[in-house]
Amino acid sequence: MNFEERLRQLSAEAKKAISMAQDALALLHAEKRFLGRKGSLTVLLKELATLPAADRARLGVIANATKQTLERSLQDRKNAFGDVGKTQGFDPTMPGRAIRRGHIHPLTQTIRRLVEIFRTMGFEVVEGPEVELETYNFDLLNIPADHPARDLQDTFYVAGGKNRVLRTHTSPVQLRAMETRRPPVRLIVPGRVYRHEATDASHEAAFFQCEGLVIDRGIKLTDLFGTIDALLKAFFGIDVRTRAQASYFPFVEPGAEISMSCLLCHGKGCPVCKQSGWLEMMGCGMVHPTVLKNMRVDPKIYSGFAFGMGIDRLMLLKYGIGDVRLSYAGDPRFLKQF
Amino acid sequence: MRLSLSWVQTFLTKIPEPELLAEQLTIAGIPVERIERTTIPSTVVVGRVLSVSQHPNANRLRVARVDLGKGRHEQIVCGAPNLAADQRVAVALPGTTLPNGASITTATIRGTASAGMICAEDELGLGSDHTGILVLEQNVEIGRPLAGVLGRDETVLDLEVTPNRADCLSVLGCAREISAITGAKLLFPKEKQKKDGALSPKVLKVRVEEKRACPWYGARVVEGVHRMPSPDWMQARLRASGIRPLNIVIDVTNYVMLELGQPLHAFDARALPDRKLVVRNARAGERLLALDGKTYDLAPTTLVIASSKKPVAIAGIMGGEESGIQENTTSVILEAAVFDAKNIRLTSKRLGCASESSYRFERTVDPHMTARALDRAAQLLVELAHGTCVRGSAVVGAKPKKPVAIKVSSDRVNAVLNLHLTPPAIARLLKRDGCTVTGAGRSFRVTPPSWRRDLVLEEDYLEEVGRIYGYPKLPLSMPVGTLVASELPPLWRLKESFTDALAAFGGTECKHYPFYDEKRAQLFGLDVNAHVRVVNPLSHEQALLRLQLLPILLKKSGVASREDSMLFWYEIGRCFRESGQAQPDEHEHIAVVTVGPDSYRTLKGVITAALEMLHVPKETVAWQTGETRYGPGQMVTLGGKTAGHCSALSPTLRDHHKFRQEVTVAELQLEPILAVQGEGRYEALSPFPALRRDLAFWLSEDVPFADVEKALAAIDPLLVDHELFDVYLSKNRRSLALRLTFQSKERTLTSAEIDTIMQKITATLSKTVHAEMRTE
Repeated sequence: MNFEERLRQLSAEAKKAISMAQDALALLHAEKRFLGRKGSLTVLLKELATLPAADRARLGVIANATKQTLERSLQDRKNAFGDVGKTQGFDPTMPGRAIRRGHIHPLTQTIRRLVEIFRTMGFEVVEGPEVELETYNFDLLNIPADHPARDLQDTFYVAGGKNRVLRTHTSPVQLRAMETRRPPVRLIVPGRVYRHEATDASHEAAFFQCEGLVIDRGIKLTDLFGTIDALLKAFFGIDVRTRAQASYFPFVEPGAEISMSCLLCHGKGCPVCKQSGWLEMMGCGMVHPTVLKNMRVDPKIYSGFAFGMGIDRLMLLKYGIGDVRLSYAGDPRFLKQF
Repeated sequence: MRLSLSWVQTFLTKIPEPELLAEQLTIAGIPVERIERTTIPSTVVVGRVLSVSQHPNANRLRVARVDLGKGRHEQIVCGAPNLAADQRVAVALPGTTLPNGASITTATIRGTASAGMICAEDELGLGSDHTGILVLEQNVEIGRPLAGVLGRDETVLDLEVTPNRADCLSVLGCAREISAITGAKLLFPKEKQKKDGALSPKVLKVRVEEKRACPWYGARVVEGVHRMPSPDWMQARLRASGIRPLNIVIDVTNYVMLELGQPLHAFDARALPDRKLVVRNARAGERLLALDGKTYDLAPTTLVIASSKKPVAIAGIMGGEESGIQENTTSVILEAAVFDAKNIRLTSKRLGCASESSYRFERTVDPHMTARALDRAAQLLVELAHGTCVRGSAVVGAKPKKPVAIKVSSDRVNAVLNLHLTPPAIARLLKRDGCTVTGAGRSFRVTPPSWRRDLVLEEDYLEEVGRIYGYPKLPLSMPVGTLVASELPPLWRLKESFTDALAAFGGTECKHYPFYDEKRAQLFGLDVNAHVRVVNPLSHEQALLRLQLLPILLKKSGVASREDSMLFWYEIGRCFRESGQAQPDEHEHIAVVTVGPDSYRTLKGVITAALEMLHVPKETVAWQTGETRYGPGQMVTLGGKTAGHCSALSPTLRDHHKFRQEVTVAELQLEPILAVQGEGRYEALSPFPALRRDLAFWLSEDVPFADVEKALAAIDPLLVDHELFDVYLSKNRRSLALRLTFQSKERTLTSAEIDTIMQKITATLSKTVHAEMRTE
């Protein structure tokens, strides 16, 4: 057989061997037999040099093409089996590459959860200014200047225009929202509020609150209790129990405070709940008729409820954070946990 | 309000256990902050100080010899300043464990043996006073256990009384409330009308000039009051209520205030030599040294009690030092009055002077109790201080008005509370509260008791019914009504998307305080006057509301970058700018800080990608090179409006914040993004393939890349995109490698066509930016 015939024969054999190989090992043997350093095809190709110059150029092209074809089909098969021949350096037990992932602040995550839950109950989200006028922050909310109720919220005053304050609660947004809305209304106002008081593990001078307002015909006090119960169950889990107690806020009547069974001791009493088994979650109540009138809503036709809860407190409880100040301290060890 | 349970119990037929009572009060709207129990150990006994001598080795200590009865004398070291011979004191014998946990043993203190401890009030858990040791009455038996002297164990509920419930600022008031919520019967006799007529004007003449500020004023005179301490039971009750016993007259006025809720005042009659008393506004320039030792400048709106010559008390707030009860006072003028709540509040605020009395007046007192409190105090002074009450009382003012009746509909009660109570059942609940209910049928008239000034509207009664019935017993329901679809506000969605985008790129979201100080504003060259200023900041470092986010974000990230060499932080939040309008401008900002090599390109890439994710069309975004207040960089304009900047932090600011590496900062306002934000619409794919060619060239360092882009933009519309995929610096030139994308929407491009364009590109770049093509 001349060179060309032998080439064709070997090529056919090699193709067969490659296509017949049942696993990576058989493939490795086939590669060694034909294309290895002493492989039959490699040996044959070396003969090219001994051929007459006239044939050499033509046969060289054919030989190389044949070799490349075989190499390609070998590679295809290798890909199919996985390359056992090149396991060097491959160690699946090494850790995954450190991807720099981002972190979303736990307060943002808490607010998102709240918004998500409230939106399932048909609430819209509204925002308002943080530098408020006393009129909105107090007067229209039935907290006159000469009333001791003003002492309930220590206030930051803002220079410049008359009667500017840093809003002490998100409640003024109730009034602002109602300037452009008519009942039925269901809205929440998540946002920052300010209290002029010394900070400690559970108090911040600037923190986040979520206001809620519902106005419609026939809204009941127990609708308020039910809504908050549903919210806290959705947020903390179905085992949570809530309890309403009477309270006083000038902009609601009847007024209430809602507590939740302590997440730590489940109501048995522990230091977190001051042995009471209950955690105070928010002040709330039926919108005061004076406030409804200030919203140009007729209290004879409509009734409504409102609530204001501390988002920071929800965050502390949700993530088991012991000190609210961590949240605004810019400590990377804290931020990277979320 | 500290409520002594042993005291309030005297007003009730029965009382629940403290824990249960605390829960019931809390649920009813009188939150119990704490339950405090005091048990005085049996080994604390009454001792008599025989002698006091200086401790040989300690300036602040003294050595007392104390008689402990039954012939037992001990030597005790004591540091209290008020220790004196002949005092009756409380001695904790060795072996005692005090309520605060301290164990008392026989000890040697600075070389002197001490067999026990002479106790202060707080050490015994009787109160908070630690200014000195507890000094007992002179007549108590030496050697007796203290618990036997001061009465049985005490439990105190610390109540947080809300401003509307002034009626609960007394033991009687709390007893009424407990009666209403537990059903226990109230033991408080109706007033016996023991009228003894008017006081002779010779004894005391009262004139009220300001009838509005003082609608009722009553006074009585008690003569021949003996100087003596008040009885132990009274002292114990005062202490339990958080008031320090002083002398019999003051103690009696405080006692009656705590008991009935009516503040009282006692003057030494010598302060009114001509026996004339005027309730008037202060005159210009008048001042008063008050009992708290401070001198107050009185304004013409300050209501005072005055003698014919000068003020002797700030009405309802504090008495004058000069007219106060002295050691040798024998003749006492007792005052019980009704002062206008608003007036008291304003004066108290303006003078910065508050007291137990002003606290109660601000919240209104029960005008029907005033005369009775006056009589009660006089009677106690007679009984306990052997005084003689002068017949009659001096009264100026009309009988207090009866509270107004309100119509309450049982249907409304049931509707709001989600109950099905019968009208009589509702009436019964209201009567427990002390209300008078008249009329039958579905609506009735309800008159509140005189002490419940907060019951004015039907809504107030809705709460009362719910409260007495018990909020926890109400069924839960959900609001029923039409649901309206709502979209999140666009700005809110933008904040959310930005938060997500930056977190997706590896950023860490922070939240910081929105304040900084002038120094920080000036550090960045920010106009201090553009800032919104807080009048009463918690500290001078929080005097300004932030105009931008970066001043604080940089401060915090500078510290954090020592832990994280690849720091990538961002914050989204409200910033404030003084507008001169009623309210300042408020804008949402986003600020980003990136640290590390090539951080400028990283941050610019982050912003570009984020804007792309937010569907901001490329053509609306422009970057204008220049110097920002943070360092060299670019201003970002959106739709022609400046939205913010991206800057390589200047070395000065970098060092100031102690960064050790290259830092890039950016801050954008969010509103301009809203204005250019698109819908994110799908663009039809071209059926013709795109062709790509790479191009590498040298560029002088002082030619900005923007010039290259400008040149490329003008060459051929078939060149649809370019991507800078490699940059390296060598001496004073940069090698740039671009991947160019060519595409037509109408046909498949040929290689020859691209070759022609490529030639044009190399020629143009060589000419316009002096690019030197790399061929190797």
